[in-house]
Amino acid sequence: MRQRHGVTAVILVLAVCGGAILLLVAGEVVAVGWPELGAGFRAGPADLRPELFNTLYMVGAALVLSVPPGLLAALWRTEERAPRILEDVASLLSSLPSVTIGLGLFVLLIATSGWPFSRAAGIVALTAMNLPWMTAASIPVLRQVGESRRQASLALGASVWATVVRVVVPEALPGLVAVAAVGAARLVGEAAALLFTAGVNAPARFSWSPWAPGATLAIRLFRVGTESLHPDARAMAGAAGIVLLLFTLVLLGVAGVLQRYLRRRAGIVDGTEGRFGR
Amino acid sequence: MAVLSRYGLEPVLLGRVFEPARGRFGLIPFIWGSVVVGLMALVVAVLFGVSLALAVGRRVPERLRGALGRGLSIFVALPSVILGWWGLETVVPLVRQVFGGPGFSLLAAGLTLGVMITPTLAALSLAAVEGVPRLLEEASDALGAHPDQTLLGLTLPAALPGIARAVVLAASRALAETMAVQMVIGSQPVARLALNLPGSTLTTGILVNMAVWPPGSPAGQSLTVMAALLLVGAWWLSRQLTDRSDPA
Repeated sequence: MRQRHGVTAVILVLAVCGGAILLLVAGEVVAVGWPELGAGFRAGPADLRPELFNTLYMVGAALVLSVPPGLLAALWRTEERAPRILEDVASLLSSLPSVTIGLGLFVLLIATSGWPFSRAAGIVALTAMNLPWMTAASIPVLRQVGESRRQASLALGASVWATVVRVVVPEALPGLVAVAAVGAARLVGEAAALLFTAGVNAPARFSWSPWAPGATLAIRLFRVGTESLHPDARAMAGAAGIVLLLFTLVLLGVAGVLQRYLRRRAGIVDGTEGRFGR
Repeated sequence: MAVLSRYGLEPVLLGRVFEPARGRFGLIPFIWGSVVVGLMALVVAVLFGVSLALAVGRRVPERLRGALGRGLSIFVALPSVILGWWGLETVVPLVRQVFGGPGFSLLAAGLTLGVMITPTLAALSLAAVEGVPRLLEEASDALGAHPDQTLLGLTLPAALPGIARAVVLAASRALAETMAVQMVIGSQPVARLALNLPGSTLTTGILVNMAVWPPGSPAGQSLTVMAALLLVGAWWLSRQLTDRSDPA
C-alpha cells in the first residue's frame, strides 16, 4: 500500500508558494524597471546617478565612521570584560526602529541646530544605525574564537592588544566581514532614518560637498513610487529598484567571496596547527 | 514628555482620537495598527517561513540545500522600500479587488510585511531545523514512524526553541519597519476593526507627523512618546530572546 504524505505535501506547497512570492517581488522590479533602466544613466528626469553617488558617498562614510569603533566596543566587551550593559544597550539599539533615529536626529540637527537636509546629516543617521549593529553582531563572532587560543597567546607573553591583533581578529575575520556586509546592506536599503535628515533631493550638479542634499536610491524609490506625477514614474521607480537590488547583490556577493577566501586561508592555518617545524 | 503631564497619561496612551490641531493626542490608533499589522505579518511569515525551513532542511535533495539556503539569506537583505513598492504594485490592487475598500489598508500592510519578514524567519528556522541531530530522526524512522510523523513529531518540536527565536526576531523587524508599511497602509490615524480600510502604525505615525508639527510642541512631543513606546516594545521582544536562551 502506498504511504500518504499529507504533511509533506502541505509543507512543500506552502514552501513553493513562499519561494515563488519572493521571486515574484524581484521579478516584478526587474520587469517594470527594465524599460527605464537606460534612462537612469543619462541626463534627464530619470537620471539615477546623483542618487547612486549619494548612496555610495553616505554609506561609505558611515561605514568608515562606524565599523572601527563598533568593532573596538565589541572587543572591549569580549577581551577586556567590559560591563554587560554595553552589550545589552547595543543589541537593544540595533533592533530600535530606524525611524526613531530619524526623529531624534531631525529634532537635534535639522530643527534645533539648523543643519540643512544634507549628506552630512544622513551620514550621522547611518552611523547611528550601524554603530550598535556592528557592536552587537560582532560580539558573538568574537566569542567563537577559542578561549584556548587566547590563553596560548597570553601564556607566550603576548599582551592583550597583541593577542587581539594577531590571534582574535584574524580568526574572527570571515565572520566580521559578514557582519559588516549585512550592516552595509541595511544602510543601502535604509530610507526611514534618511527621509528627514538627508532629505528627498539629490544635487543637480555633481558635488563632493557634505552639505549637498543627500537623497539615496532607496529614498528615490519611495518618493517616485508614491508621489511622482511623471508619466513614466512607475518604470522610473522600478529602475531605481533594479539598481538598488543589484547594489545589494554585488555587496553580498563580494562579501561572500571575501569570506570564502579568508576561510580557506584560515583553513590552511588550521591544517598546520600543532605541527612542529613550520 | 511634557505632553504627558499636560494632557495626562491616560488620554494620551488610551485616547482613541489623534487630532493634534484640536489638542487630542490619543495614541491608540497607532498602537492598534502596530499590533494588528504585526500579528498578521507573523501569521503569514510563520506559515511560509516554517514551511520553507522544513522543506529546504529536510525534504529537498541534499545538493540543492546550500543554494536554496544562500538564496534565502539574500532575500533577508532585500531593501524594505522594494517590498513596499511591490506591495503598492501587487498587494494593494489585490486587496481592493478581493476585499473591497481602497486597497490601502491594514490588511495590505500585514501581507506586505509578512512577505518581508518571511526570509528572516525562514533562514533562522532553517538553521534550527538543520541543527536537529540526524541520529534522532533515523531512530524514529527505524521504529517504524511514517516520514510525516518524524517530521511533525520529532524534527519540528526539536527545532522549536530555535524557531521561537526566529519568530521573535522576525516580530521585532515587523515592529520596526516603517517604509514598507507606509507605502501600503493608507496612513490614517484611526483605530478600526475593519482590516480592509486604512490605518497607521507607530512607526509610520512618526514618519508622517515628524515634519508637520514643530519639535517641542505637544504634537511633536507625542511623537517622542510613540518612539518611547517602540523602544519599550523592542526591549520587551529582546527580553523574550534572552529568556529562551541560557541565562549566561
